[in-house]
Amino acid sequence: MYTKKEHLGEALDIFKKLLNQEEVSANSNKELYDAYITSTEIEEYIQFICEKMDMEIYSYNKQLFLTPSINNQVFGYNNEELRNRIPYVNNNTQLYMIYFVGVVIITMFYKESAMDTSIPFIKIEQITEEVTNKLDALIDEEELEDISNEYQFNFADIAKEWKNLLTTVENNSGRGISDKFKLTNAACRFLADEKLITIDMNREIILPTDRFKGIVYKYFETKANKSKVLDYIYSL
Amino acid sequence: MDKITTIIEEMDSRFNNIKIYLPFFDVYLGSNKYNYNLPVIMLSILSYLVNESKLKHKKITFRDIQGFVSKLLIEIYVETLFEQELKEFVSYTLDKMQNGGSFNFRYYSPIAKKEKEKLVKLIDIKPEKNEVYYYITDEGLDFYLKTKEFPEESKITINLLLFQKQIENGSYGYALDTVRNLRMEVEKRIEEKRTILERLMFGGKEGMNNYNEYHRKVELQFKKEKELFHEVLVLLEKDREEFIDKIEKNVLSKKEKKANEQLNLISKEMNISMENHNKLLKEVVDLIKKYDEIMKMKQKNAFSEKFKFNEELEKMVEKKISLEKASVLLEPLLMPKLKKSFNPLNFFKSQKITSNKATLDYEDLDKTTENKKKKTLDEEVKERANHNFNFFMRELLHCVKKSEIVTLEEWISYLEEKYGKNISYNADLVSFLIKINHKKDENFKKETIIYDFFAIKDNKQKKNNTEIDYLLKDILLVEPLTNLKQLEITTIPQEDIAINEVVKVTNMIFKGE
Repeated sequence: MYTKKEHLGEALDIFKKLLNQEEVSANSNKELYDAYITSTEIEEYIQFICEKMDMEIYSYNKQLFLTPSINNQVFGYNNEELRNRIPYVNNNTQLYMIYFVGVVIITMFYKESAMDTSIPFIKIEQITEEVTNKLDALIDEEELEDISNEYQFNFADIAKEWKNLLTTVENNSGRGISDKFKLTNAACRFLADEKLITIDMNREIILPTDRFKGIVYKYFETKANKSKVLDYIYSL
Repeated sequence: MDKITTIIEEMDSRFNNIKIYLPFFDVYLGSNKYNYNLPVIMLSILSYLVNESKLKHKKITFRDIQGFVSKLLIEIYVETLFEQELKEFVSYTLDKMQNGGSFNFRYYSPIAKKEKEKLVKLIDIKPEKNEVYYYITDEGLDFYLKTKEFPEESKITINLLLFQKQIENGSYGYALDTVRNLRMEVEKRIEEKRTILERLMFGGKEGMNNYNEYHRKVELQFKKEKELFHEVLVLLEKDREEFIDKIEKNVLSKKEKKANEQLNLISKEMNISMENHNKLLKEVVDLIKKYDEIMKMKQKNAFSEKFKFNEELEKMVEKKISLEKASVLLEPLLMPKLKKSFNPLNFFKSQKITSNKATLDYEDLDKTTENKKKKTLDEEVKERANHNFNFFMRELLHCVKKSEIVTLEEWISYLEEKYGKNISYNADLVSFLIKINHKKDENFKKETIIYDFFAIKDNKQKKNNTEIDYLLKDILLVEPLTNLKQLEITTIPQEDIAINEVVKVTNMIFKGE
């Protein structure tokens, strides 16, 4: 018979493993996973811990995933930290281009949030085309010379930067962000490091992981989270 | 009139049976930029997946398929492709077979009186712990088995009856083929459960119909098939006993010996098939439980709100929302950041000065070394370069020890992850890569050189690259690397790889054995 302290201990063990980016699932750290699934008390404790830490925990496809809520100052990344994390990214313009590619990848797998995606994989070159398609509409030739306000990176600014990048067709698996393919690759590698996609360079395709699918389904289909995200985006 | 009604009623079911041929004929009729026959390669890959993945339960990677296709091309066309060309050809073939995910089979339903669409895929891919595995779907298996002309319903029954006849006639060779097909049919029936579940989740009304149909099929046919299994088993045992009797009396002819071996194989396959067949009922029970779970989930989802990513992104673009705000879409997907802090008490911990394992550090060109005794500039540069060459070679050996085959790009990524991105700008790394990249062939073909560690230690290595031999010898004297016997370096002269934003070097593949 578990005591309250033991339940709390298990909950903290689960939280610690997930925070340390270890897998807790039916295949790995199985006892902890089973404890979460079978014990209401442990589940409640861990939900409480996550709530206090401004994080969310989800179970999807027999695995647990931990994610910080938006604007989490402790466990979320700020721009400087992300710039340091992602190779070859040295300024906010480059960072926001990586963000934009990441968001386009989400829209390519999901038109809207769902339990799973019907798209099993995407070719990396398709991502580059899709980003170009989305941004092309924003370029007004007369505006190309305008100087943008550096604190308000809007899509038009990114569109201009993207347009200025080279479009090379050779060596598109190289590193750096000096052309469209390399930048797309850098964004994909970042998402792969975050365990959101698996990259198969044999066929130059990306596949969504369970983490990606689980969070899209569980986070974005919660009414409260949806409101939080949209309120933040459209706030003045 | 009745006949016409029946014809119309059966139409949807007939189209459902036909759809599995679409991928093959799409490839058959489609374009092909290679001189190799794609339909042949496609059927061969399906056969490979059936035998290796379905029957032997192996996890098949792209490399496995690549290896198989390489052997196939040698057999059929007496041709060997270079690694990169082969990779491109296999990738091209798989793209054709997958069509971006699935094929759309469109048909007119006279019952629904409208156009309907069914998605078909013969193969599927799934990521698992940084690897991607290939599978044949049950539609793929269905298509594959139908190429040997078995009709739709009760394939298990038909195989059993056929098998019965073949055993009665003593046609053990054919019986072995039949029992293998039987095993695949049983496995297919079990696999169908997974497809039914997927359709239940996403298929709407049709998903329900598929579930009911599967349930009815298994329940109805299970009893009949179980009886047939029992009958053929009795037949098999009777024949085996006759052979055992002859073996004991030592009166087996050569032909009978072969037949006995076949019977043993048949017996093995039959046992597996029976075991799997018995699992079927359990699978149906499990399916009912999962069906209940899915129904509950669907009821809950009916009231949940979808986040329309594409729509929201377009709205943000139109309203010129700042990307700093729009990036919040990505935030929930990122992993928690872990901030580490230093405990000053570590100053008092006892520290190891030397270590057997490679807790190495490379020397950055910019770092000053105040405590070294004064040397000439040449001596300093040479010492630093030797130290760094030693370091890079050890890292290379550790990497191939872990991963067996490593490309140059993978090794550079490995170094960057371990030591930070600056390492790829280290000038000694470039020199090291040039050193191990031995003389290129004038015709720009691939070249492989093998460093045999035993030969190096005994000074018997063929002199290909003396400096590297000495470097390896120094390392092997200090660090035995017991699991590695040799290092193979293959240069690919027609490919250049960028190791950083400035420098490109000839591509190489490293292999440890």
